Amino acid sequence: MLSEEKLRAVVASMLELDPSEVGPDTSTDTVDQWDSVRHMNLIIALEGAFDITIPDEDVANLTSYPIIKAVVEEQLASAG
Amino acid sequence: MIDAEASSRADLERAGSELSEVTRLVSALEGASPDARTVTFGLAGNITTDLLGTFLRKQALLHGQRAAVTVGGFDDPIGSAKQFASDGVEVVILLNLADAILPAFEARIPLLGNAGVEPLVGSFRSQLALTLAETRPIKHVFASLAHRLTPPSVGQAEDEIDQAIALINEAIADEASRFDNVHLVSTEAIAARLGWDRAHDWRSYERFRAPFTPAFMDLFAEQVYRSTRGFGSYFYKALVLDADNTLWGGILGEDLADGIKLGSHGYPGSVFWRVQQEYLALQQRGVLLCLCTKNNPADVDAVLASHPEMVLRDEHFAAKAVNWDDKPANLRRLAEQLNIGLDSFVFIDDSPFECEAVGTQLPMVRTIQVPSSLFDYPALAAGLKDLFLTSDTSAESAAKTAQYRLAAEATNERGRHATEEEFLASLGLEVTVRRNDRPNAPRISELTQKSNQFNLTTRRYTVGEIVSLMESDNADVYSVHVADKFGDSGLTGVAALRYDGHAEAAIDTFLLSCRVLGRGVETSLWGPILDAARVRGCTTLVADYLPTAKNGQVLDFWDRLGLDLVSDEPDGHRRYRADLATFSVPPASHIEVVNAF
Repeated sequence: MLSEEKLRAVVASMLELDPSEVGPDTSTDTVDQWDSVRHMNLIIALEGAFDITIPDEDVANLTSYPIIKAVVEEQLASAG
Repeated sequence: MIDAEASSRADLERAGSELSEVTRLVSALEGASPDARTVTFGLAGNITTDLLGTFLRKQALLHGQRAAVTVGGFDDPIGSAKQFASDGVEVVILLNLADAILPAFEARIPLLGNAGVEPLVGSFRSQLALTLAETRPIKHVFASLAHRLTPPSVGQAEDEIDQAIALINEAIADEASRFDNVHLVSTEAIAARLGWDRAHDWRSYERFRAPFTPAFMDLFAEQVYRSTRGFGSYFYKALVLDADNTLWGGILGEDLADGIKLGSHGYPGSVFWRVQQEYLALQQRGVLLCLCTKNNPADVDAVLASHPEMVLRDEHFAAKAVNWDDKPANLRRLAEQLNIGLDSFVFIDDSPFECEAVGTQLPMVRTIQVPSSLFDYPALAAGLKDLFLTSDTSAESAAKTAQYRLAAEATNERGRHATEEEFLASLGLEVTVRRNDRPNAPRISELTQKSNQFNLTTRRYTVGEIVSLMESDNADVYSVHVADKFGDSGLTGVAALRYDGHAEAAIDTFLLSCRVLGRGVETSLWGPILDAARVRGCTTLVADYLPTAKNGQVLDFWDRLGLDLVSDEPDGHRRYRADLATFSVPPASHIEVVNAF
């Protein structure tokens, strides 16, 4: 089971947001500082925090919070 | 108030290399300390180095500083170095990976052969030489040595990859030796410390050209801070050592000189004997050793003079504080005595209580607790030399260190210190008093047999004698349990009362384990015991002090509790009395006393 609170916390700290600001609208279009370095660190942090491997085809597509949530949930389900 | 910043730092230390947690804490703490001294870093290399920036910022915060990190252009060390020099960056880190010298370099080494590898190493060397020429004006330059990314071959001691790596490292060391400002960092040692799999991330290497894990970057940043002594944030000169369970196993006051665990053979004495060798080696290198222990001076002197297995002797200690005062007070005294700042001290003790007392009251002292798992102690002791050894610091930067220190003292002395009362309140002390607790009679008997120092009458009782006291109508045996936020010290105190002539309660025995002393436990536990005596109809309290060779520290205990001295015999026997109707024990608001009978 995905803890959404934990997911929001990880995304928030890696994108320098407040956890309360992270939601359906959080995306590369709405978060100015979501650059390639932060994206890289976000992927590394997500993999570390949830002990998952984000599939290669998804790495570049993780451009919004809803997509991140779906991919992390999928990986947790296939691991569990 | 325990300093909020100090507790956030503890969080940061605990976060280890967990990337999102470290990132969150780093951002929060940087916002909270806008005025801290900022060290500027420039990162360059033939791989993606951004992750190192997060961990340099972490280390800076742990040292009361901030780090401002600029990442140079990818695989453009010379251009990056020029930029850093013109920006006036203080520290440049060159983090190169051998495998990235050429795409899939390690896989291609056997195919290239010597004839192919040597010119490649030559051009890497030229690039490094040019880079280092550009960083000449920069104060500190850290250049990574090369190590192999593919795990070393187990069956073949040195294969072609190892040979190529050796060639590269020879070139790096040779170029670095031309510059006074260049420190080398062994990435191989970091990988070895973590283990290959924890140090490297192939996924992230292939995706982002970022081969090193957060754990690797964490250790790398720590090494950078160690080898510069935190960029002047510390300058340790003296190592202050506790004695019991730090220099030897066991408690001298209870186990006596021939009972302490120390010796070249046989665990656990061998661990303490080994760490004493480390401490002696530090002393030979110029570190001032001090002894700071709650013990009787004569007992400790005897061990230093004549314990056959002691490695450290009296002559190795620059100063000693062997008494029953609290450790922060003793550290202050040692600093005065040696005429050095408290921030020059590294303090080692096995007790979490003492470590927290020093940590909160004297935050400038580097406090290290002996690991609770004794097997971790030798590695800890061996690592201490990093705190003291000069790397290649020039006299000028040493003078600068002293300036930082003066500035730091001025700021630290104000506002950062919790008072002792606040510290005690933060411990969550709980004292539980039980009466005639039969199942614990063996432990109570054992304490009467073993306790020497905090023991007012030193009456030794067998289990049978304790049980008959418990069953008697004219006596009570109270046992005391002490717990705090660090855990439960267990049954650590005994008080036995006899009721002769009905209206008189006489304290037959009172003893406490030294582990729980110094926090007001010894006075607070009397509340419920004396209430019970009153309920019984007693109007007078009588107590004795019977001197022994060991119990000098409690000579005036009954005075401190507030009893009146009624006789003082030539043999040292003192008798005290109090009127129970008016007597009350000194208040200790930081202790919760639980009456469990």
